[in-house]
Amino acid sequence: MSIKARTIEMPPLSIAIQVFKDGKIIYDMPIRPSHSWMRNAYICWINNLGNKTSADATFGEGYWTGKNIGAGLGIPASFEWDGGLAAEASGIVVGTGTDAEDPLNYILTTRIAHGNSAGQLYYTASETLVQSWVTGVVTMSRSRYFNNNSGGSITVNEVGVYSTYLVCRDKLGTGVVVPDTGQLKITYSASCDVSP
Amino acid sequence: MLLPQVKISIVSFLNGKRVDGFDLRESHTWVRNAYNVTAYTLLDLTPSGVAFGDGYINCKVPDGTIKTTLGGWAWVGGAGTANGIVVGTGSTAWTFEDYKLETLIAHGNGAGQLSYVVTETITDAFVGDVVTTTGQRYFNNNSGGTIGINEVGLYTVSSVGYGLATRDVLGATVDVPNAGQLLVTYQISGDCSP
Repeated sequence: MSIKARTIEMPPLSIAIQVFKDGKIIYDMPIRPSHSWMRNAYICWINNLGNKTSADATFGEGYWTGKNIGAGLGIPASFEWDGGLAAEASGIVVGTGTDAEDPLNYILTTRIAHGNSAGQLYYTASETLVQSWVTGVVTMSRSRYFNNNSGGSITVNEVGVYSTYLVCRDKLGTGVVVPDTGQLKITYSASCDVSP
Repeated sequence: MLLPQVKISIVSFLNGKRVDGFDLRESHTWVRNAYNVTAYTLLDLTPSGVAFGDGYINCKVPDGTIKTTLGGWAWVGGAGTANGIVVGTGSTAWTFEDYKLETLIAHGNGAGQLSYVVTETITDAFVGDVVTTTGQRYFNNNSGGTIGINEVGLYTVSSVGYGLATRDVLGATVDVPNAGQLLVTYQISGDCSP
């Protein structure tokens, strides 16, 4: 009798978005489920226990390979969710692209660059990791602020996490407008049941 | 959190003929170490070496030391080394907190010992989005007597040494006769479709 392969169950991922202006919340998207793990994350997951040591030559179904944000192929061994000050290509990142999510995404469609010029957001360092346990379930939460000193409004349509590889990507249902001198806060949370 | 599906097969041979064991069957024997490493690598969690158990992300290695540097694991065992696929005589039931085989059979040709052969080449295969990786290892019995196998496991190798990732206590002892050979097969698979 054959046994069906077990479908990978990734840790549930959630996202919350807030926009501040003059110290007040002007937009608040409460935390809600995200279903945006990329293929890279699945490859990392299976690779942990599966002993693969070299990447296949193709990215996609049938191949045990990740694709990094520079379009190079490799196997992601682990992810780092923190992004430092001005680090526009690590940690939580944001963009203006409106393409639908695809598991094969390996970059944001149109990532917003770090800076204070037109169309740019100022990437602050990630907030300190918040990690907690409740009876076998570990929950982590990570946030990052983005300041708009560009002189105009910027609309954010996509959010993701870069760790050499694109880990997850969320195309927002409605663009989130960050006014000039406003501040954007993105929070990703995930829970992992560490029990048999 | 679900971890990949594991199947194992254990067969002993003497003079080229099968004498004991069973073919591939499902195993559900991941231990806490495997869950911790997976959660850590995906979510960039902060490890803690205060204790091993619920509430802590770390890895407990067979000598009982708690390691807080975790990483992806490989399960190749070199010739004569008791890591990778390993076997033992212990029969105590599996628990989620197991961090070693109960009674690991040592490498060698003395009484009660098995000669650990290098792990066979590990193979990977995709069918659609289902990936399967298979590893096998032979153990030779030059001990002068029959050895009964009651437990098998994977001591997976990382930068911090090796840790127990899975343990199976066999329903019935698999005997390896003197001058015989034992073949243990691990097959791990998962459906990578989103």
